[in-house]
Amino acid sequence: MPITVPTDTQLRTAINLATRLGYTKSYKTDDLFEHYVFSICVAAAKQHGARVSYVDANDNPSTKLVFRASPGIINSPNRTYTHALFDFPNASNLEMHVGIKVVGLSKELHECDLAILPQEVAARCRELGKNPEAKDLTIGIECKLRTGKLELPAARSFLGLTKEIHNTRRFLVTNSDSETCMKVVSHYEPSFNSNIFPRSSDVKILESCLVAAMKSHIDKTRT
Amino acid sequence: MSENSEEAFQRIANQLNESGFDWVVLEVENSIKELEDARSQKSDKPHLDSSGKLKILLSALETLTKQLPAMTLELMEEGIPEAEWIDDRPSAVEEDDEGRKSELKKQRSLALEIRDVIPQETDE
Repeated sequence: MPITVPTDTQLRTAINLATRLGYTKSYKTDDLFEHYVFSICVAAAKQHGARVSYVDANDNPSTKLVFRASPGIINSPNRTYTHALFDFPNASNLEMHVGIKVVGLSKELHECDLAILPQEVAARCRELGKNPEAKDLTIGIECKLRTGKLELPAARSFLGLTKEIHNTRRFLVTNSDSETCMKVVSHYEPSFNSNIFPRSSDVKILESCLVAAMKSHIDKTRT
Repeated sequence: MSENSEEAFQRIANQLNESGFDWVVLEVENSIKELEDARSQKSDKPHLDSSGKLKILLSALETLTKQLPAMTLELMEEGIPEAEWIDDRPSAVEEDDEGRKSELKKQRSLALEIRDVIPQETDE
């Protein structure tokens, strides 16, 4: 099959628009991807009938999401950081945070790109100025946006992380793919979800995995 | 005279490098290297041909011009509030707030515009 190669004009126009969208800074594209995966988690919670709201650490509703651009503590002095609150009809609530640190088994702190944990645990951490522990995490997600293939060291690093923060209901999510990473991660318990981008059929698979992961919390805390 | 795969690869990679998308070219080069490393374990001809390399670069371009704008648009369509990313480390440089706001206003129209610039690969 012939390859469609963009002309110089098409390329220049596309690059110009991509620049104006801020994509020259790779961290901005990483942020966008985390935001996108965040929205998939919201969709999963809604499948369980959750009422989703966005609040800051003082429980004030947020119309704009304020996320950590670098790993931070749940009890940040900057109280404006937003988290999503999943209010389930017949189970205890969950909160979803972006870029918070959790205490690993070795007692070292590790960043979770997306951390979903019980509201009561998160509230207690904020009150006592503590970091959540790995065992407190209902769901932990590592997000990797790549324009190329996801590299093997990323999978190795993720597996190392799951030794520290447990490996059940832990996800490595990427827009890219990699047979090698898939093979390595799938050999163990964590979930590897590749090709996560709009209109990809794999998004539904990720959403189903998240729905199942939330179900285990719902079953445990059903009222 | 028509452009061959190697020339097309160079032309696109040069444009990306010159426009601040060197990180994309680097990721593409890493992908090619990793793929060749994997092939070297199975075959005595590990090197990708120029058309294989070009496909990887075009796929990176697609991430930039199709996937990312589609994420921006989907977030808007799904009613997920816009996000502001704040770095509260002392070393962090404050971003110009006015500049950021005006950039956000343009996001939607730019994301819509960029998707149609480069034709989609026919085999998708």
